Amino acid sequence: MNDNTNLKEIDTKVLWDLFITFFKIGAFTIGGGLAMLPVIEREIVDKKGYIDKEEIIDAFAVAQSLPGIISVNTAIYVGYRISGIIGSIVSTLGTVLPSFITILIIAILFPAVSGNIMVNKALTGVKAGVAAVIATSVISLGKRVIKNVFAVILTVVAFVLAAVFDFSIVFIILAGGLTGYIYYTLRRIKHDTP
Amino acid sequence: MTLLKLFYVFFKIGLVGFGGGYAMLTMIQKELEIQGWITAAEFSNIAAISQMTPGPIAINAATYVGYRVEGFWGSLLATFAVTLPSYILVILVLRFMMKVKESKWMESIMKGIRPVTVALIASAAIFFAYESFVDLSLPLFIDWGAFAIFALAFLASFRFKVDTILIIMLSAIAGMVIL
Repeated sequence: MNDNTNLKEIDTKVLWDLFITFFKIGAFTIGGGLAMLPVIEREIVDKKGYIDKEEIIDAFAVAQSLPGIISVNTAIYVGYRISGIIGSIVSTLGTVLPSFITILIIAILFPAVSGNIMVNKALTGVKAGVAAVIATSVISLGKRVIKNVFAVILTVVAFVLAAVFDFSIVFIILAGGLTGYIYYTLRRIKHDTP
Repeated sequence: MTLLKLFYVFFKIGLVGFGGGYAMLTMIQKELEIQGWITAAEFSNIAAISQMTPGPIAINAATYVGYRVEGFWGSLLATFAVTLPSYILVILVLRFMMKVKESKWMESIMKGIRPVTVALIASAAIFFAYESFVDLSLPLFIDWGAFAIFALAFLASFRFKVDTILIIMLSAIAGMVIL
């Protein structure tokens, strides 16, 4: 990958497509930033091929380890990779607009807001659905990057630390990076020395 | 001037908010209460609404509170302010990464980070599972209705590659019908 070229030229059609795609992504990311991943994977990686699976994982790594809103971070990353600064502005606008419009309407129409049984049921259904599509993404992404025993160990340890012991995400990502650096550098040294 | 304060407070929230929506919740609430812009009751309402609408809590809070405090321009400004830190940081990090992407040491680090990220995403699935079909008050801890939705959704997406957005919409409808 070159450091200064975008994956796609700055082209109005691409930008518009980016906007629409991220608008869809933004509209269906309910319940938490990570729910965005399966939708992004399907829309951007599988359908449009703008970015490959490895890169989307990198986007998520960056998005989770930096402060700020995960879904916005991801949109900025992907948008920038595809079409530079303009791309990142367009993708962010797309992601933010659905919620901005929805909440604005709610704020204008309803001075007091409250819950609703039907909505809660719909939401629980959505969360079950999201758990399922995330699981599918995990399997397809995992196949791509878990290719040796070392990666398997890293994955299992990271999962246990996160899901069971509730370790800080930033810590886990940094530890993973450090471990990877040590392991692969040592492996390279061993390989290179005759 | 309130607009300036609005910008400053939400910029701070966007900058310091770490770990995603739920971790940010307490921080956002404190900041807003200190300013006197929202009451605890109103905040828990907007947090609940945020669960039901697209968008993370930080953005929804910015839009809602911004509107309450300074109307449409307030909501626009607050929403912009909360996304700005992300903007600056991600682009800086990304430009750095793109420069060093070819280097072996960076590649080693990324090969460590990628499986770990997949594991973190998997733990997110666990989180959503807990919020839907895992219920510790029930026998065997499972809400079978919600589990059925999960199982069908998984089958649809993994085996039949059904469109992700379609699955989410159908899950919502299934939730209203089955649960």
